[in-house]
Amino acid sequence: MGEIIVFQGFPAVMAEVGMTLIPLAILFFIFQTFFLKLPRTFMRKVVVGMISTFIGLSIFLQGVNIAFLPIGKMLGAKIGGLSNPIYALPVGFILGLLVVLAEPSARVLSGEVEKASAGSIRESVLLRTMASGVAVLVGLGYYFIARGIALTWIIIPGYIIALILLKWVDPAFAAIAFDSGAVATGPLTVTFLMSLGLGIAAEKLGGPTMNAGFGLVCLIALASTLAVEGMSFIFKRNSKKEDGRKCACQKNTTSS
Amino acid sequence: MSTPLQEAIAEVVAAVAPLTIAVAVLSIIFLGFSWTNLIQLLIGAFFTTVGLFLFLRGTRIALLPMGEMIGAYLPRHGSMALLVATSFIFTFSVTIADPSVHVLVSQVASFPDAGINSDFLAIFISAGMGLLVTVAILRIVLNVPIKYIFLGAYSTAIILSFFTKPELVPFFFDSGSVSTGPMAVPCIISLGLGTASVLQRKQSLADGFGLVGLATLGPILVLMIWGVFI
Repeated sequence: MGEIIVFQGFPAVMAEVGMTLIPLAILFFIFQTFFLKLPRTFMRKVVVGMISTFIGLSIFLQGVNIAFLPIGKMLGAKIGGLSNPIYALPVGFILGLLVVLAEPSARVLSGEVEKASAGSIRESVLLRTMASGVAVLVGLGYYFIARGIALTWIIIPGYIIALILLKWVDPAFAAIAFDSGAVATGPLTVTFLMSLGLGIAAEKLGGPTMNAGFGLVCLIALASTLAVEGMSFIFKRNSKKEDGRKCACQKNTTSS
Repeated sequence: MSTPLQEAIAEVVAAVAPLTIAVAVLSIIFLGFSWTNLIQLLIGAFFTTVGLFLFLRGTRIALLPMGEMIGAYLPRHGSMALLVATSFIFTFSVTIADPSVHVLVSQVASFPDAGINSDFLAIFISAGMGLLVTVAILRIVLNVPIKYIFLGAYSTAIILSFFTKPELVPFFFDSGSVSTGPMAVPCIISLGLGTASVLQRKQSLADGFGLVGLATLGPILVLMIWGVFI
């Protein structure tokens, strides 16, 4: 990176963002005129919110484009160029931990699971399980990329296991498990993890190809899904124990 | 004593700061110390923080109430056709505007030789999300157990992965997880909860969840089918 870039390319980003917000604006306009017919004050709020969304999204993407994407690629190229692919493992491990611990939505989801399990699965426990699962899989993922192996070999078997486990998982947990995968990946982590992976792959395979650089974000999703499914078994075991305990005292109160 | 505004700022800083520090440390270790890199990173981090803050505020003021109202309105007043059409169009619109989708598309644009048109990519991804969210909303209305839908959709994806372009399979799976970003997720959830709340069935807990998990499958399935033909 020779010199510092601040606003270069910003108009193009704004134009792109503006284009993608058009469908939403049209949809709401149609709904407002024909169905909802909400009061003026609410409409004003919607317009202000849309403008805020537009400006925010443009500035966010500019920040990603000038800093996180290029630095991620440079780092990836450096790591991919190292003689031993094993260095990719700790880097992935640390980034994986960070993804879960820093992502607000992962925390929100863990809170939901605590509620759904009536407190039997504590938020902190699930968060730690998810974090370690993601760390291990992302570490492995980078190692695979640095060795030039496609991540398909982790993704497909992983999802087959996740599907087989569904047979025994409580329905409420099944839904949460698959949601957690989708939720655990925020826009910033996605950006950086992906660009680093693509950087490694490009260096390893001698040029940009789509072969081996992708798949990391999906690994995060897979790891969270498996972690929540695992948790549901612990929940089941715990609640069975409690049922056993409750049975004795509940016999007297069945009439109520 | 924290106001909602302070909380919102704290939330955004908490999301950006750890990664920024990690990137700074990693780049010092692997790339050597350089003021240019660090200043560039700081400017970028500042932009992403401000941008994310404004974006999330806008979403909360405008989009979430919109999703909930549309979701609550449809099952009460609309016909099945209106429900289906609106779920699809609403999801399509919020997905195509999602920051994560922008990032993915710009990444793919750096592979001109892969034969993927990045304009089509955004449209396919958003259409896929719309499709599966519509299926998920119908599932809530028709009360089909979610396990079967997961099983069906994921098995289809796994089977398709053997027939589609093999080198693109990891990318297809990524596009699914990526598309459920900060814009799409809250909107889809509010749409689903709006629908579920009107129906008022007992297992509303299980009803509200699962929507986003299914939605991720949309882009994967659509892109894989596309991959069979390219």
